Amino acid sequence: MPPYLPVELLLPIFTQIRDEPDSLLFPNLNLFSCSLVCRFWYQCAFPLLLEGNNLYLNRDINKHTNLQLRRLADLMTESKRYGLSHAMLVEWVEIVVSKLFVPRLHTKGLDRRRIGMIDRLLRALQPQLNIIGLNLEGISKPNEIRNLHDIVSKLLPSLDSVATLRITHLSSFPPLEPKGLLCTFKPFASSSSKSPPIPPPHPILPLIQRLAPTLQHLHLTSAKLTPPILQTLRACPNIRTTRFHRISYKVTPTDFADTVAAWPNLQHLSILHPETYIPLGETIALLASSRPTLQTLDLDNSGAQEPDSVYHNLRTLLHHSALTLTSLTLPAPSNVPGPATSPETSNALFAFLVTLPLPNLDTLDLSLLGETLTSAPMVDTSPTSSATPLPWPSLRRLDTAGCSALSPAFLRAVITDCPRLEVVRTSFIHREYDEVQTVLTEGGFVRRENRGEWVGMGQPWVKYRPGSYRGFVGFDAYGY
Amino acid sequence: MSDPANITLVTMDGTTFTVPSAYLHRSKLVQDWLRSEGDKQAMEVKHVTPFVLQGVLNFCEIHAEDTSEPLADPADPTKPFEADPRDDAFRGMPDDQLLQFTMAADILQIPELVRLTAQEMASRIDGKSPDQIRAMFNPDDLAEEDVDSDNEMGEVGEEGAISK
Repeated sequence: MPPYLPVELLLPIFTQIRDEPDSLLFPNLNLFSCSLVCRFWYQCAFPLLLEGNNLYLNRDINKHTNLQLRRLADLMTESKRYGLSHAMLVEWVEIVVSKLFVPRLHTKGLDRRRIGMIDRLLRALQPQLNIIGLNLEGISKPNEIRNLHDIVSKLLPSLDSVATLRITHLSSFPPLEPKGLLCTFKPFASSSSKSPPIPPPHPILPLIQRLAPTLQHLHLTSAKLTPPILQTLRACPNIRTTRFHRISYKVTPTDFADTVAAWPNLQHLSILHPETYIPLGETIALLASSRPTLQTLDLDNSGAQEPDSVYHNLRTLLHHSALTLTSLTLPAPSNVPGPATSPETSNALFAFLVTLPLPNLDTLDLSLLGETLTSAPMVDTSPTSSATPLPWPSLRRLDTAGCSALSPAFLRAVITDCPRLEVVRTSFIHREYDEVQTVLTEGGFVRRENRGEWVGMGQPWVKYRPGSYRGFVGFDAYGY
Repeated sequence: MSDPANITLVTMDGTTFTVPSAYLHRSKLVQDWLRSEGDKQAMEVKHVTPFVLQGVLNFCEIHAEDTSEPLADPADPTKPFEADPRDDAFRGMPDDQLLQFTMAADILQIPELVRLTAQEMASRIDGKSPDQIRAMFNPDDLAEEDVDSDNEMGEVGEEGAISK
């Protein structure tokens, strides 16, 4: 029998290999197994693994049965033992905590076997794995919190190299808030002079504390932000990215501002879609004085009452970050009755913005300015105009939904001056919608149906360009 | 000169097989040989045993009248494999025989047979560990001199099993 198969025979075999019954599992465990047979097979199979790589495991780790998860952990462990590169196939792992419970007689118990497999997998992925996600949806009862303590304690040693932590559905429950149930109940025999027992910290807090030396990127989504969390986050000196999306803020604006200002290396600050109002005036003021070089600045203060000085400090902050800024979401102006609520305030900020050179700006979201943004007096696109072109040469995405009074002349100027513009989101309740449509159509844009994240968020228009995917630039990126 | 309607194949031990040339219309090797050296008496098929060549010719006879478009690349993922009950004989054979048929199909350049055997091997790999796959494909005859001890991927032989 010939001992080895040549590459022209290995490739037909490898392309036929599927993981049944779910061929969408990643990585393809059978192909992964083949890649560990010998060096030659590794060289043939690994490029195929890379081709089929989705670059994340978050979707699949929860679909894996315990058997599949054990096999994946075995293979990844073997790969690590040989010093091979399979760990690079996994960009990040998300752990859905609710999937780690198994039904018991009257309650849910921990699936310790599965937790052990995840622990082995995470250890095998070290030190390449630097993104970990924790989905805490449905974890709110005391026994679930206790179990979460166990899970975090078990996995903590496997997470030493994690630089990015993504937490979703962090709900508020007793251990997070000192005034909760645990503090209300007092033991029968305790003396009145003794203070009530201090509840243990929420299991997420020791996790953040453990990661503090390496943590650079923090994403909190659909979570409640409380003082203990802020206090813990302040002790993370290397934070560069923070994303607070769909957050319920149970903290004071001052506490929040102090925390953000405690990160000297901050480059990305994204606050979007708040569930409760958070004024950002103090945050902007502190950032303006600390002069960070930001790349992302998304300041969604929807519904909050801002101090009048919010735009003054914002101008200073934008000026400091002008050369590095790639994404900008402008906050709403103050809604406190007074001069700051007038359209002149928004327009004054806008007048400043259109003259500010932002060479790397990729995304500009004006939607929070709403109908207070009415004009762009310095924008004149007439052929005889001597106005300076908009200094945003890299702009690809512009969001003006909600800006129902924005001058169509501004859109025309953006289309003329920003050659990379691919997507414009506008409002179909715009007061001059007919003209807006004309401007966009003449600029080579095609209206797309609302889909996915765009639903209810205005009307997307996409640049049509023959030769690009389906003729539309940005088609993939925006889920059309 | 040989009969153009038939072709004679000679295996590694000198056994001859004479079959209609039409049977082998999907073999690129045979077609090239007929064009360039068709005036010779017989075509030598070295490295193929009589048993394996007989099996290959059986496959060719079964599929001689197939009208499907010839498969250009057996690794082409865009051409889905469809199992054919006429090929069931390949499903029950031992691993080493299947491997020999794969090699013979490659030598004779019959993409359809390569894909059939590759598909069968892929199905046998399903669920197996690297050790079990090594046992299937027998890469354990690694000679000492073949070991590349100075490679960048740990103690891995050039074509041998990865050393633990």
